[in-house]
Amino acid sequence: MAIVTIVLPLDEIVEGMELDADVMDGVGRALVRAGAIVTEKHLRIFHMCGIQELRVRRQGPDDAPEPSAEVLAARQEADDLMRPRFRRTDLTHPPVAALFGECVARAVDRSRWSGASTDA
Amino acid sequence: MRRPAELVQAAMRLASLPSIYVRLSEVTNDARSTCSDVARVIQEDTSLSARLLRLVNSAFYGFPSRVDTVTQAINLVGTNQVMELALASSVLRAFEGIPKDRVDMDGFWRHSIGTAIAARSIALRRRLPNAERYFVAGLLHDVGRLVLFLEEPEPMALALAACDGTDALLVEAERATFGFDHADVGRALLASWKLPAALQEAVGRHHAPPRVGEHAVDTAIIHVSDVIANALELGFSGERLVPPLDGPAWTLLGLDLAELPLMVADVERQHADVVQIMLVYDHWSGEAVVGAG
Repeated sequence: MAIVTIVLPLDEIVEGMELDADVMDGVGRALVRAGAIVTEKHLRIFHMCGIQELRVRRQGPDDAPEPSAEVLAARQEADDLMRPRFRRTDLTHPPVAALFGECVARAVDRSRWSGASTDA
Repeated sequence: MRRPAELVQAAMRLASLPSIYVRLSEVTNDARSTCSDVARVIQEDTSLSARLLRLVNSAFYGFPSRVDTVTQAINLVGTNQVMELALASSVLRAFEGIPKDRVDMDGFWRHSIGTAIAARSIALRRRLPNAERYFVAGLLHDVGRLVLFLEEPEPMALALAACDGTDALLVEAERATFGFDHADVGRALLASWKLPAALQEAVGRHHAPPRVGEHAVDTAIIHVSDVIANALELGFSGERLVPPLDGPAWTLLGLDLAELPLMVADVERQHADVVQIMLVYDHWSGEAVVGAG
């Protein structure tokens, strides 16, 4: 098993997880430092301060499971739609690649939500 | 063709900084002033007080308990920070008179607010003092484009048309059309409003951030934030493509790449809240009546 870092919504954070980044309140004061192990008290503070997502370290499989064909197709569609807007950027530059990845992931999420609401 | 300072002089008829900001500046610059003096000036402007309290009680700050008074807000957030938020609020009002057929003001301010939130998020992560200062710089970064749309509508329409179906950025088309761009005009406007030099520089050079110098970090923050807001398609200020990210500007900020998803999440989470607070919508038409009290 390898150690991986992952951003999780607060609802999925459980006691014993290790924080990978400082957790700050709305005015930039550090509530808890990176490296701390999440306790029940931390969770209460995070809820009180409206923290929504945290970056944590946890053990993960050495080989992540392959995404489904449906997810891959949705990603490809979002990538094709998004790429022309990024044509003046250098997509091999790591921060641009990361930002592009975030935009694609969000577009996939949005299409899933709109699909879900259409189905309903 | 008129120069940036001449355009600004003409635009000032429609866009002068509201007197509340001038009065707040006087109070905060007076060493004898207390927190209550600042609160008193803000409370004289009921719409500003209301907007300030809504902002302090929103996801923008995420305070665990409700903030009910301006004095409480100043104590929690800080005098300088409240002053910056008051400036942000005032600036939106300065442009209320711009005809709707010239600019999509709603889209424009949505893009500016996205850039402002990203800038504040970066400043908080870099532990820079008074992160609200970066919020204001983000909010104002494209304000020169409003002046261009207002004062030079036909050349701007041609510049926009020149970008259609090409790889050209609007900022490049502006340079080809006028010999300068909206960032130069924005800097001239902020100078005419006598706003701080750091703010003028961050706005004036956000498309060509300097490598070194007193304001290099401030400018890099606004540059990176503009790219983020464009990439996330938060609003629209005329630029159809995501502008290129300046590598040295990114490096100068020393941000951890792994924090980018958290920053993007911050921006997306706060954007709708801050838009609802800063922009006022007409009940009947649904159109943004920007900053109306």
